[in-house]
Amino acid sequence: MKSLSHFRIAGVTIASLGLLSIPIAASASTATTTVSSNIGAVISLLTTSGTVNINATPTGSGVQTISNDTVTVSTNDVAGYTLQLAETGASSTLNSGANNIAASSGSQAVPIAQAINTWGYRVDGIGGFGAGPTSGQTNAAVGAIKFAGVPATASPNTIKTTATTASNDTTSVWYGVAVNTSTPNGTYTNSVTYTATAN
Amino acid sequence: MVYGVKIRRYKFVSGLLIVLTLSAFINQTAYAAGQSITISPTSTTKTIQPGASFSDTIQVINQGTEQYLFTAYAAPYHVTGEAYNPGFTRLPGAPDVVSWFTLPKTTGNLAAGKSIDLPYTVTVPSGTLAGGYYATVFAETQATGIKGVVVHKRVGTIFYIAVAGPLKTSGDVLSWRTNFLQKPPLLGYLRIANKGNVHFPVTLNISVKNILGHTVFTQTTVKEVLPETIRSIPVQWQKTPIIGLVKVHGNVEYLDRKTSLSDHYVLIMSTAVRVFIALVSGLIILFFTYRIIHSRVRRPLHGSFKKGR
Repeated sequence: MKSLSHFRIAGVTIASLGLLSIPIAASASTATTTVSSNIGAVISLLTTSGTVNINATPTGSGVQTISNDTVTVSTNDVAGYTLQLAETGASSTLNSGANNIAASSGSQAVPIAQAINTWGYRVDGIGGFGAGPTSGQTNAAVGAIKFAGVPATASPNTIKTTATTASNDTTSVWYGVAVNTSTPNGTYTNSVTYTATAN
Repeated sequence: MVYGVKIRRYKFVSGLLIVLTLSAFINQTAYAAGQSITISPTSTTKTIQPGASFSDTIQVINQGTEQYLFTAYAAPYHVTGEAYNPGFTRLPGAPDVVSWFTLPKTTGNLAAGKSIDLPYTVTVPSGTLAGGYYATVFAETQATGIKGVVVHKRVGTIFYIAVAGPLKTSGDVLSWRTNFLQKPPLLGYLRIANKGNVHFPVTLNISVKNILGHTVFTQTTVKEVLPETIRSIPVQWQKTPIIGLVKVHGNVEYLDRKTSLSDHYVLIMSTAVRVFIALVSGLIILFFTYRIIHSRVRRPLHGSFKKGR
């Protein structure tokens, strides 16, 4: 008898608690929040160094040094990007005081094998440069690999273009100089500009 | 006792390894080694009344590991050819849009991992005729090298400015082309002409399906088309299989129009596959040639045998 009454009390208590836990209000208010994120368009240009050294120790018959600059572009612009190369200033020669090394007379469309006492650039697989592959060399015999003169500031050459976004997209630009002992010693310099813009 | 010391040593070494591993991840830098210059946004499009001005900022970011000096300046913008090669010099007879730009900050020294906001104001002269006008604001690294080939790097934000007034917007799709037989990557070109006096955006939506009808590639690209130009907009699928028959489908949206492009079938065959097919075909031809020659040689022998009986 006693256990039955205990059971009844427990049952009533549990039922009461259950009733109390039922929300009194039948309606609930809701609110919505919109989460938005504006991802800005960016374009970036990276090179591992600010200069490319094409040092040479000439011989009477001439030597050729070829060195590489890796240009890396990234953009999240869905239009892709265009990378161009041009002279920074008016001079197309490698200059050391009053002395200079002339630019190659070849062009990106029609490059030529490097003549003695000239310098130039090439990018494998574009224009008339051929597929390459180009490799670096120092004071080697002048080869048949073709180079072009860096174009004037007002007429940049496109060396890469993409149709969509790019992540760490690299372009290897090779610079070469061919000299013999008729070129006076000195530190010769020329300044070039890479330009990256979205399409 | 000895056992207890060993346990303590084990715990110490394990803890040290965990701390070192975690610190490697925590301290890992996201900067690329070298000199890097980044600009945002990549383009700005604005419509403005003659005589009015607008201001905003451009962000320049150093995401590399080297500090550098930079300069900021405005330059003209034009394009050449259907491939839209950009040019940044003023064309003869073109208005001097660069003079509309005011840049209070034109130089800076940007440390690795830092960014700077460059404010600008564009003021359109009163009396400017309605139409499209274009320029670029560049951020350019200043090289400090004194030998060899010294490299400058510049990145630009292109400005597409529509000066309000009697604007004429007009354009047509000229062609949509893909070659049937291609090597990877798959390429297609949409040519669109702008016959008006102001630029407009073109959105090209492409999907590629295989023979089972599954979509294997999609691409959406948005390009501005400048007035009195034809733009060739490329579609490129880099990760094409070495062999396959696919259907290229798409549509183009411009000037409040949405036009479906005709479906094109493309047979993709890499050079290696073509060489293989050529070799196999050659072997088959040789085999049947041999069979034909061999059967002709044997026939006269059968005839003389019959005569002898």
